Amino acid sequence: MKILSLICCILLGTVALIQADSNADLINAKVDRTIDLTSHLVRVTSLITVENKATSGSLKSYTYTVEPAHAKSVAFVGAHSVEGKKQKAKLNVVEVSKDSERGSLYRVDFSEELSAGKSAQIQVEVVLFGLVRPYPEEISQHEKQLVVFKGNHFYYSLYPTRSQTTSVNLASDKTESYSQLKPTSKSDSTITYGPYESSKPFEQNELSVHFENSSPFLTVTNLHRIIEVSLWGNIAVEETIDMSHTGAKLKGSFSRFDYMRRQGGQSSVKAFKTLLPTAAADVYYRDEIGNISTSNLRVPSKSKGEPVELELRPRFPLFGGWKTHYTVGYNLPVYQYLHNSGSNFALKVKLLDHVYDDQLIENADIKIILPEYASNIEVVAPYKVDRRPDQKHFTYLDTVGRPVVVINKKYAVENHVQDIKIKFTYNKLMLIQKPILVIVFFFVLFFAAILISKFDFSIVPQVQEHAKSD
Amino acid sequence: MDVVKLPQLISNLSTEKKETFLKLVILSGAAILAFAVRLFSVLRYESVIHEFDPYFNYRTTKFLADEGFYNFHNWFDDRAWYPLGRIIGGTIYPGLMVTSALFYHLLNFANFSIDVRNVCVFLAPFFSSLTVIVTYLLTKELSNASSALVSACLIAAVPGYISRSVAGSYDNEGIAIFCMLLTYWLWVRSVKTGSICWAASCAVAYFYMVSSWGGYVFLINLIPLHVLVLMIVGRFSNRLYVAYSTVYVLGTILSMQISFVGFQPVSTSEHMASLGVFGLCQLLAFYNFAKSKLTQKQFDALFRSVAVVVGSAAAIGVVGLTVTGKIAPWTGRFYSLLDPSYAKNNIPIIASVSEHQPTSWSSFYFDLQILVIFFPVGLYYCFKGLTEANIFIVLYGMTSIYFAGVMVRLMLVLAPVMCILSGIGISSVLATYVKNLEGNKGDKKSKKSDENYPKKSEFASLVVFFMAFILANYAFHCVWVTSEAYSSPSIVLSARGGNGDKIIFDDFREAYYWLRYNTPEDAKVMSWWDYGYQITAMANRTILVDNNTWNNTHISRVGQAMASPEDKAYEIMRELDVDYVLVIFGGMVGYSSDDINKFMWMVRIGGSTEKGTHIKESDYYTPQGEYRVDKDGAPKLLNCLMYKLSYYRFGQVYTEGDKPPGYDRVRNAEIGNKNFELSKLEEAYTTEHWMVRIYKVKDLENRGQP
Repeated sequence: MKILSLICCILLGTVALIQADSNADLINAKVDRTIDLTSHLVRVTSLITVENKATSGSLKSYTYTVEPAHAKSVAFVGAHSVEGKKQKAKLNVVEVSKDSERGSLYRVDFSEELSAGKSAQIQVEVVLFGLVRPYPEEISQHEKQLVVFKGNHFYYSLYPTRSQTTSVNLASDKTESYSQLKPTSKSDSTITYGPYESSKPFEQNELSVHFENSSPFLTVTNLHRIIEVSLWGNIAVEETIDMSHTGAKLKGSFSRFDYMRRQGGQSSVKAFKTLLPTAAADVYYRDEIGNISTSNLRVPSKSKGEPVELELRPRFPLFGGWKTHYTVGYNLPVYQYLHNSGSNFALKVKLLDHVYDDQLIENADIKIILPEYASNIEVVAPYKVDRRPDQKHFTYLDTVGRPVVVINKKYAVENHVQDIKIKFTYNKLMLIQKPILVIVFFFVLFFAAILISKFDFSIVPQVQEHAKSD
Repeated sequence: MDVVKLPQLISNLSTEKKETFLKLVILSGAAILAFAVRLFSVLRYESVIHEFDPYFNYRTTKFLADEGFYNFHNWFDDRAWYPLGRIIGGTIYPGLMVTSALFYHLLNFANFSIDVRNVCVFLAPFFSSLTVIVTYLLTKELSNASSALVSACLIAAVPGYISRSVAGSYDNEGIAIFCMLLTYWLWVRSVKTGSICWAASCAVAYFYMVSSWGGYVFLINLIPLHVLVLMIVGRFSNRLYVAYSTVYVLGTILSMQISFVGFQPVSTSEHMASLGVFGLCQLLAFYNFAKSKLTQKQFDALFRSVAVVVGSAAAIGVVGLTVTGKIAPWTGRFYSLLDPSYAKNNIPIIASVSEHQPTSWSSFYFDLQILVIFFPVGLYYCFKGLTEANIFIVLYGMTSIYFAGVMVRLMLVLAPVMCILSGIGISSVLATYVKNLEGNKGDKKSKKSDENYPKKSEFASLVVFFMAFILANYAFHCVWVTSEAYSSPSIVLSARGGNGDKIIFDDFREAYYWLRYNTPEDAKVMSWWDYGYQITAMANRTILVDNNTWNNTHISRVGQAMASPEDKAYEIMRELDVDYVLVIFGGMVGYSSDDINKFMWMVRIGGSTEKGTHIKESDYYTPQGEYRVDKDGAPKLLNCLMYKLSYYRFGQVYTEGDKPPGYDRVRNAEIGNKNFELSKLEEAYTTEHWMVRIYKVKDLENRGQP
């Protein structure tokens, strides 16, 4: 069985490759690539002019390739078609294969077929994580954080490239060293490579930058998000977050005195901002040992639709290698997120939400608790997620339990802050089930009390209990 | 039901029903008040566990709720008393934890989502409500329903009891007072009825009391005392015999089921009085029985021989067992109960706890207010109509007032009896004068006596008005005391800033949380024992000593480390395998109960054992006998570990505008030893207001390095 399925996989893989390779008539006429290294994430934005050199036949898709060294670090790939300087339609991106030799291949579907001899512009945005590495790995409190990034001087592609330039945006203008491949120029915090003419498919040449980057290297190692929907008017959202500072580790001692005088510790994190939905109310911020009193909530005017800004200060500043853990929760009015026609309901909420700018969530477990007796649950996820078996949740006055949709997502970044749609059916009559339950309970209770007080259950008739005299 | 019709509905009821209704309303009002008045800290801060011991109780409750009773019973805790560990199951009174775990499981079974912490936080207020009801029942047995209602209202808000039962103060006393009064009520009831059923219920209540608080010893001595006094005054009866025999036998067997108590009820001297009275009961019952069956001559012969045999056997037995050590001598805490100066002279660790100090006069008024005045009034009324039950409450009052004077903490035992007796007093006074009010003119007698009692009605209304005034005043006082003195969690501190804003000092949790997430899982933390429970509960790290103070030498070793210079201390810390040292320092913000102020206790306790004989208290004082941290301070103090850890790099900090750097705001002095470096330790973390400082103990240096 195993061998059979392996063969199947290989076959499917080759089919996909052949299909990808069949676009050999394509050529990257011009590529403008920007590698953004201002945070701990790498954002590569490539503006590609694609040309169909074939004499006949039109092409449906373009294959975008990520070099093998970076294949495991891809968090997000998105594409737009571009006309002039404006982004137009969002394009569909599908991962087709991942191998160690050629890297990951992504199929980008054109919005309209590219006929022979024509050219089109597309923009591909890739977010990579874990590639900006602190170097040295340990620094003391007064040292600045230096990081190193290794990439490719050339635009890595399945197709030959006629002309290309790459600009690298750094977090600061202070560099220890950077690789040179003529023509190379540096101004302030930008390094420009190229233009390079006519490069071959899969051409690689190591690009390396060693520079100062004091931006917060925060990583959410675990996120538990619980969205509890109540048809009585409330959606309760609670996020429990394990966070660590993944920058250069703190070496030696932490001196509060120096920290107070603001000497050193630039790369430490004192506070960060979390954006909550506009309608968020009753916000709380706590952890296992109680409320964390150091937070600020800025509520914008409701009409503008701006998000609620929550400034969170962990109990202690986060230095490299330090961890913390906390819970943020809030309530949302249900009418903004839940719509129905008859007994068919549709819930549309953010699958993941903003935690901090340039966020990286390594593992997210999302639980969506639907009302009791909801059935025919159907989940429409905005991107590929791992849906786990449904669970049951029991809370106030539940009898059969509430259905829970469980979703897991690995390596999510800000681009993954998108809505999920969940459809279910629910009989509205079930709303009064709980009040009736309470009424019946109290009725039975009082009735039993009346019965007990009215009847004499003793075997022999009661005599006066208090013996007043011996 | 319509609101308009309600009064009509009530007026349609018969007098008896009206009375029941009124009682119900007052009693439930008092119970709700008792719950509500204890919520100040939750409203002002948050739903959080307070102080020190409650954190241990919370941690054990969580363990019990998660792991089940069997595992809890067998729990060997390796997080505390490193490297000794502690057998938790056999060294605690499990009643509190079992009660909350039961509530927790019951509520969750009924699908009411509540976490263990909230059950713990609200348990004490809930039990206070129950205490109100049980006080009503007890006082009703002693006197009448009206004084019972007054007592119930008084106990709902008495500060002496609130101090130990506010929301979050999750300690044994929170439920123990309820258990105690419940036992008393059932005891009085069983003495009154002579029914085995009531006596057995009393034994079960006593079992609950034993399972929840060490103070049960007070009960097991008070009840025999009651029996003894009844015997002496010639009120011994068959009812008493049945009641006491049942309670003693059942109660003792049940209490021995608590593993912490074990065989103490038959082997320690604290329990011997109850056994003696039990024996006396049998003899007296036999005496009465024999007397009724035999002639005088036969009886005399029997009496003499039995008296001689039993008397000598008992005397030889007690002496013999004490000599052979079968009956344990009294423990230090009990000695200090009988002789308040005992602890001070002999056991510094008991003396160092503030709640073991003798009570000051002012705290009687602070905790009990007018009850102090009405207590004798109640006593007077009790003596006026002396019954078996009244004798009991008189004895309870007299003994507990002595114990409350010896130890601040036992104010808690005094508070209920104060309420009961004052309730009787107030209600009796009011009953006397309300009769004289002008409204009651039906009496013909009153008109006659009017001549030698002028202005009778006016005087009565004056008295009633006065009583109403002081009762209202009592209510205000209680609420004020609760809000000002007893509702701070002490884990979160708050102060008013210069511009009137509330400043929150959350340094303790900041430090504990840092330890929890940023130190290795098995790190050993050394700190003074006060913070032990909090560190294990909140930081989840192993500690050397904690508030259980069961091993004096171990605590003494920590005291020695703190009192020694750095290199000596390093040896001790290596020996104890310490990874982190935590000290509390208040000099930055003026928090006065910090480690430097507690330091003399560390020296005393450190010097109290064999290994610490070189540590002498006098070395840490100036030649004039002063304790100072500035330049004139004793050199030993200025160079000891505690001093260095508290003041490391503090010498460069400006705390107050016009003062030199390194100005300590608690001791109001510029510190004497400023620019020193630490060689064997390094600062690992210091909280925002410098209140908690954590140091990492460095590893041994590699061999061969310069």
